[in-house]
Amino acid sequence: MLSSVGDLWHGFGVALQLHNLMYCFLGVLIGQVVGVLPGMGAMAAISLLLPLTFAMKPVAAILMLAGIFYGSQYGGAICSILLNLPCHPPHAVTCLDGYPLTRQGKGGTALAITMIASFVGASFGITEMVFFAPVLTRAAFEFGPAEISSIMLLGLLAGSTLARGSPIKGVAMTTLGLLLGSVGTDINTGAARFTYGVVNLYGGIEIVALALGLFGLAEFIKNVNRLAPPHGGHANVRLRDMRPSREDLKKSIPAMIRGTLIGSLCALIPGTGPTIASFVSYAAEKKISRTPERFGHGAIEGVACPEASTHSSVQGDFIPTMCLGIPGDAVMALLLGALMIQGITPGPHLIKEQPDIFWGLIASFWIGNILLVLLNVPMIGLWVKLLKLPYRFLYPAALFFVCIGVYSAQNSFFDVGVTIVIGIVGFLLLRLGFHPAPILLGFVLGPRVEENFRRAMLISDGDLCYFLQRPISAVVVGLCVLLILGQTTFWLIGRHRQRILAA
Amino acid sequence: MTGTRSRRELLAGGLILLFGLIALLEGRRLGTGTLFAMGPGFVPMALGVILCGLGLAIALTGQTSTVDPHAEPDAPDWRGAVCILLGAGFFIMLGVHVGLAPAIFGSVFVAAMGDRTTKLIEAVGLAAGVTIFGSILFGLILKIPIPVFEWR
Repeated sequence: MLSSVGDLWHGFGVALQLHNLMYCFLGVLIGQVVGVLPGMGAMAAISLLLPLTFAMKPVAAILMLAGIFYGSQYGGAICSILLNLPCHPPHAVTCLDGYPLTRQGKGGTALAITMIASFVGASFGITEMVFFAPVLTRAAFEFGPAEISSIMLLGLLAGSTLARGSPIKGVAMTTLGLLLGSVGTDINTGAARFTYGVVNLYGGIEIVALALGLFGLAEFIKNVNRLAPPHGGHANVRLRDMRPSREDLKKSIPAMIRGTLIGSLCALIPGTGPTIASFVSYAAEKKISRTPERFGHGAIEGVACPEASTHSSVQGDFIPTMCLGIPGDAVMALLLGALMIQGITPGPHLIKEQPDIFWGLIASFWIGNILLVLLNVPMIGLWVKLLKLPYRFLYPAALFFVCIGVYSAQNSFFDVGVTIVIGIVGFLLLRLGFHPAPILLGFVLGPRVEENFRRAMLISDGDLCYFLQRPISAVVVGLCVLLILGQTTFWLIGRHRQRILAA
Repeated sequence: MTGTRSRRELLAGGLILLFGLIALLEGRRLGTGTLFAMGPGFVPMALGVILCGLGLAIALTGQTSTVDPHAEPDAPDWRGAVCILLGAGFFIMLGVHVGLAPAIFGSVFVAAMGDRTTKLIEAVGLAAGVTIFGSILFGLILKIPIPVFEWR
């Protein structure tokens, strides 16, 4: 316990170094700007800026990327509440009550409550990380290849089935991601896989090309001529509109606390990211409310609760990502990819060997969140102006940034071509009702799943029962089976109900 | 309504099945080996089998248990799609042969024309603005290895 506090102190020392502080500020600022822009989400923001961080020191790079991430979440909240345009999945819930509030002229209040809720949620999430991460790390040192493979399997399954849309399609996307991760030279045998004689593919698919193809190009194609030009009628928010009334605060503070707790619980289950946390907490809040009929028509609790739970689960999500190297969702997968490009493999060793990165990152979360509140409140007028930027001017400029971003990752035009192909496939997948985010999860974990599985098979002489003989691994495999059974049961019940309704 | 939706599911399953078959072919070519001594094709083969199974499952069940907010029943916007993809293509072509500035101008201009309401003059203006900004930032300050102008 005490050593954690001491380490955190050290972390603040790292994060407050002038150049680190600058990168953290730059990160939250860029994240905020990109997040506010309609049609641009956290994924696009991080993957666009990823190539820029290749040349930086690892600490500065991860501080900046994390800053971009939570900055874009604050920014995205503005876009969702004022324009009803959720660009990051967890915000879909915030829109339900945020936009009606805007139409009643209470958009400013909703934004203020969102900011308070985000800050409360994030602070709790960070505290959870400080005390929980070292415990998990100690346990993780006991993990062998069997445990790691099974936990990864659980993470992949949960990440793909519990997200949005149909679970089967989610699993298909994750599997496709695993497959894409195996493109290139196989590290164990040296054989070239899926390269079809193209030399540029021997090193595998560039992660930036994949991310920007899926979350850049494919999204542009989906949104072009579709995204209605923003109507700024209700979106005039000034600083003095933001002061929440006493009554609003009285309603939202208990909601924030409940949301925070739900979010932090969700963070501890691998694969259940902020999206689930926000949905669960909204549903719970509606259920315990004395006036559930107000939800969906501008209930301030309906904004406070999902935002608090999103932010507490986002911070909590860093725990498995940093301690086990197993990301909970696509954003975490991208951050993990960034660390691996820097030559750092997240895992139980990270906290001991790279205390600067781990504790510096945690300290920077707090600094970044304070910076964001400072950025958001006085400058709200500016952000609202940014909202009025029409998409038709936005996406061509963004396309250039996509191209130059992919190019500069390896100084290779070939990768830009790969991005085009992935963009086409990504758009096809979107049209066919797939959500491509789990592809990235599979892509980042793919090589490590294969390596650990291979190792486990070598240790056990090729006996698959090995996974059931080790207790921790057996429990995790059991959870996987439970997850699949649960999903199938829910599906069968749903189908049965549909049949009854149809009859 | 249900007719078109199940067609979509059929196509979706078919696409996944196709990916699975590609993986199976590659896995067979590389050799799967045994569980104890896995060949390079083991993982592609295993993933291929899973993908084929999932593809069939998607196509046959036509599951629509969750309401999908992104479901777009209307036809795709071909003009936008073609312009965006062409824009990215132009970036490569012009970037390889005539340098960074023309590449930026070409890609932004072509992409901007993908929007049906954008006027020609607006597209030119936007492209010119991004070109100046991009050439200075990436060409002169960050010095990426594409010359601002060249002829090859």
